[in-house]
Amino acid sequence: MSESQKKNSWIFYVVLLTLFLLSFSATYLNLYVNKNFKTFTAEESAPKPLDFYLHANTAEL
Amino acid sequence: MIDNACEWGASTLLIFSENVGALVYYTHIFPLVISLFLGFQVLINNPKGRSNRVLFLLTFVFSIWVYFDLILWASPTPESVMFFWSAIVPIEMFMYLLAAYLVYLFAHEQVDAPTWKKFAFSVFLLPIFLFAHTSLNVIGLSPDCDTGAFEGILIQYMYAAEIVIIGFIAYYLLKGIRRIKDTANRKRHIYISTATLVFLCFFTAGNLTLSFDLGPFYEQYKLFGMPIFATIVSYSIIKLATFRVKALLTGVLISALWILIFSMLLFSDIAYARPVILITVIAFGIIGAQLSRSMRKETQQREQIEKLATNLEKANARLKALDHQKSEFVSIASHQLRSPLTAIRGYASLLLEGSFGQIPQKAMEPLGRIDESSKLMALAIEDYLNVSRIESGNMKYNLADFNLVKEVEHVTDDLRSDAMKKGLVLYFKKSLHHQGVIHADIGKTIQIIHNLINNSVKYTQTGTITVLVRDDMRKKKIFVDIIDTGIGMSEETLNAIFHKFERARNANSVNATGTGLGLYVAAKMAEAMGGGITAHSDGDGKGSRFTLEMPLAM
Repeated sequence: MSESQKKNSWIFYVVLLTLFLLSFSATYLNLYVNKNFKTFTAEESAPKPLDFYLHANTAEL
Repeated sequence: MIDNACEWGASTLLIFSENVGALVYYTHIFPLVISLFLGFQVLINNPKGRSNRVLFLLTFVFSIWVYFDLILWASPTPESVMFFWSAIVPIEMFMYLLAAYLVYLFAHEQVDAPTWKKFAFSVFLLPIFLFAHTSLNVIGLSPDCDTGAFEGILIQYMYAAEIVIIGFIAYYLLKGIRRIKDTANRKRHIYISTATLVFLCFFTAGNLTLSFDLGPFYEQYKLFGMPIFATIVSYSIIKLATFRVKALLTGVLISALWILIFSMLLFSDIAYARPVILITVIAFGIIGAQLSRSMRKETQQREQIEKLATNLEKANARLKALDHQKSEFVSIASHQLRSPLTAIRGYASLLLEGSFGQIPQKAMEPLGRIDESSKLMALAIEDYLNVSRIESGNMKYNLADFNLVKEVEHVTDDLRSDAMKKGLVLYFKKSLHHQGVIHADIGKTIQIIHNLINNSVKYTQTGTITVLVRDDMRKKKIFVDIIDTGIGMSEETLNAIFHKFERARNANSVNATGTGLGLYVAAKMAEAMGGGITAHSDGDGKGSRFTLEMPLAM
């Protein structure tokens, strides 16, 4: 492997790792620390998950 | 907002809770232990191997996935469900990409993928990186403990992407089978790629049971792809030394797996899963015993081969040293013999010429024999010295351009009288499109031609000897054929004629003298000057053809 290929390979792994860390940090802060999510009631979650998900795509999101 | 999604008690290490059934632990901890064991074993044995690192990373990421999934079962606080459910998505996607990378490496015989391909495949991860923390990933928390949370469109996208990646892996599996020429490498590729495909197919099938709302029970078995993966990889390690892992450790792995499966039978609260575990124990017991036996046999064989190789290496070094000593001895002895022989030849010649007065007629014949024998001895010594020079790499070649045709004609003329004495006819013919100039050592070339024609004279009792010089302008080569109607050679003799001390099996029938070194020396000298000598004969008594081939100086 040439020097430039090695360098490109390193850039790739650094970019990938950075994106992973950013994504995990955002998820942790948003959901675990800030608890920024909705808790459905029993009535709301009555439909089967797949039906609900299809419905939720248009109506809830 | 509720404090605890299922109102369960606290868990140990986030994963051990009395509310989680034994089947969940069995389906999770068993593959997790196997995967980590395999990953570390492969990494420790060859940490620098690219595929070893990728396999380790794959098993490590899989273990994180399993750990996160166990957390979801055992610690259902709202924020942990939401966080781990969301965080598991990029991990799962990354695991599929690593599996594809592993198969790619085996399909390309460990040659790394170009960086652009790595970036291209990583595009699958981009939507997940961007939206993993949003409600597109996990919509929200369900109050139902069986469901936990509702999965969003990002997870559906991931399932679709996983199927596409499985398609790529199948493509690389077929591509590798077609392109890999080395049988062992092709087998390694087939084993590892098939194992990876089985592992991912189990995983994806488990995911799809959720999408089709078949409940969490079937989903549990999606992790069973990992023990199958580990078994096939272990088999490949034993049979083909894949990942360059020592077979001994594989035996330990097999035993550990079996003990682990067997121990699951002892759980009292998993009666419903017992038939499955029992079948697994029996099947793995049979396969494991077979693998262990095969492993022991192969390890013993390998050790024997290694021992033999070491002994051979020592013997070879000793033989080389002896051969060197022998060459030195031959060289020194030949030089020592040559000096007194020169004196013998000189004085015998002077006596014959009458330089020391008239020699009685009675003494003339013995003197003639002394002169003749000393000439033969000098030729033999010259052969020994030439062999010694060739083998020690001390043969000097003074390369220059000269006309080969003229030299061949001169040598033929010189030897014609010898041929005529035996009643043979020696012809010289040429068929040329070029002047016949070559770049070689003129003295050694003449020596080669002389040797070949002289051999033909010696081994031909009646008939003719034809010396033909021809060229091939397309190949830019010139050929000197010496064709005789002599004693010929069998196939066996033809194969050995250019070896040291080898003479034609039927040589004694014509009472020809010789050391068996002439053709060896001639062939080595021709090769050193960029040419070669070949021999052809239709069999004993059917004549021979020797061909000297030299490149033309254009």
